[in-house]
Amino acid sequence: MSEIIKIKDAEFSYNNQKNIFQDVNISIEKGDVLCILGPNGTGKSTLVKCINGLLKLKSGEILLNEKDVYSINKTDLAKAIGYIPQLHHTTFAFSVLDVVLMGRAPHLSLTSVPGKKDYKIAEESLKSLDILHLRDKNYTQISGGERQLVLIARVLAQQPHVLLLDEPTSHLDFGNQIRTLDVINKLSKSGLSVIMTSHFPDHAFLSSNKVAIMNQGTIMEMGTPENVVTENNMKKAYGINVKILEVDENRKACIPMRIK
Amino acid sequence: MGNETTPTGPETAEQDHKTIKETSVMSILILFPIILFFGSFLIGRYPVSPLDVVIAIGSVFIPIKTNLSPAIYTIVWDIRLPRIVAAMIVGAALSISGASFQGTFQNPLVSPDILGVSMGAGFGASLAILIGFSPFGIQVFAFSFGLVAVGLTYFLSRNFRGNTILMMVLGGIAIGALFAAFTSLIKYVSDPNSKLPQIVYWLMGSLSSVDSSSILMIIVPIIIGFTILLLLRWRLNVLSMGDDEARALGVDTNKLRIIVIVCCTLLTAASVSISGIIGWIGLVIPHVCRMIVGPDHRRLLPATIALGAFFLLFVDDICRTAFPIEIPLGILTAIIGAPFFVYLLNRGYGGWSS
Repeated sequence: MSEIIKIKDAEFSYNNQKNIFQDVNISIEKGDVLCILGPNGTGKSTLVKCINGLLKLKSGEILLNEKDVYSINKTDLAKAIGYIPQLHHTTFAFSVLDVVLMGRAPHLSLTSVPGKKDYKIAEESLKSLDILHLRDKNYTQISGGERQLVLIARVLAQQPHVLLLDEPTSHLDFGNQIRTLDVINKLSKSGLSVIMTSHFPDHAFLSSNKVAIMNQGTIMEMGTPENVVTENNMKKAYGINVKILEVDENRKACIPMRIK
Repeated sequence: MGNETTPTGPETAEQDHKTIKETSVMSILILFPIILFFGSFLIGRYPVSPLDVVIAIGSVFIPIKTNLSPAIYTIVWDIRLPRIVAAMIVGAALSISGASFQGTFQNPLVSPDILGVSMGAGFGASLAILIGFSPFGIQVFAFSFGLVAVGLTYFLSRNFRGNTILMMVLGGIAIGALFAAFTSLIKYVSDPNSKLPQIVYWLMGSLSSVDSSSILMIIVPIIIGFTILLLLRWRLNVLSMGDDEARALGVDTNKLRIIVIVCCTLLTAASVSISGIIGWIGLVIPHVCRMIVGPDHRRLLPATIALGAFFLLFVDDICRTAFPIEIPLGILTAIIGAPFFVYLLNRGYGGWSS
């Protein structure tokens, strides 16, 4: 199988202080959905930012189709890798369509403005997520769930092969969490490779075929959700007791227990 | 499947309606300064009739015989035209710089002099006045020290760690304060009977000494600034979403920010060098325009040019005609602009997120 993203012996620290993480090795193939779990502050978001070049590794390599991501120019990298940040704060009240259009930035030169084709692509990505009706709404005035979908639409307009999502479900209500995971599933079926971080081990069962647990600055465990999201591993990573239940044939669930 | 490509009726109607609305708003914004441009020739101490103005301007392009007095030519061509053009250029330049800076720094409180350009220019002008330079020398000094101040701010901020935008703004405040102190020092040592009033008057802002040669001197930096900012209008949208996001969308944020800073600094330094310090307009006109056309820089930047030109020309017309003695421009922009801005704020403002 062809690896789209390969992370080799990655090591990172801010300004040469204590390492945030080291010995990180991950590989992603086409259509994979990798869910990175782990307690606060283990460097999940940092790792994600390294993958699209926002931060630079101290040592090790991140390869996109066997090419070092830091050697690829920024525009080409943005054509290949889309990124949705964790917390999104915007100062300006752009319309939803204008926000989605920004996904076309890597495809346009420094001085050009989006043309008919770009508008069509933007509208199609809104349509594919069933939110075309939001097009002329003010981005600062829609709900958190709608905003998440708009950002996904923007990343679709970017037409990347790899999608990085930093805690895509963190600020959403119960229903929108599951709907967002469903959108991610559909995107991976259409051929996108997805890397996301999450605070919900249970979501790994719902959306991903690979799970990595980051703990104390390295990958503690990696594999299929069934093999990785176990009572033992959850205890090790988060220090709490969980029960893994089999709800039916194709749905396992990870339920936290009360702290005694 | 077939339905997917044909948009439904109401949607297109709504879209058409929106486009018509946008076009008419834009046309009005552009029409206003044009009308005022011609109207301003008629205003002034010496009465000139509309026909005289048309003849005085037209006769230069079309060889017709006129019996217009040379005084009218002088008033139209040498006195009023440079001043009108200067007011429009300065108003437009300060406004587009303000809008571009607010977008680039993602901050509603930013004005064109946030990186110290006006303070630097004020110091340059004061120094030139103290030494006793000609108006031309004062203009050159003001322009150069405006650039020097921003250059210092930029290189200072590069040596700081952390959030570059914040460091740049804080660096600008420090450099601005430094130059303001130097300016005070010059005021303190200058002759209170001759030099001091001249410095104070310069710092309050005025277009009374503008002539065509001062405009010719700034035309190159002005054209460079306007052209590049307008070309980058859509990129500014992406940049205004924040650095991480813009970079994830393939934008070289550092490079783009430097280009914007250079353009805005050229525009502001050039403006200030002929007008003195005119605050307020670069902060407020972008906000007013955002209320009218929204935050999309593709419409916002042209709108700030039109409205900025209109507003400063309007205020300058009042400056030179409303009172027996001329009021400094910088004072009136605030006296007229501030209440109007408060009125608009009162009506509710959705241009920024809450």
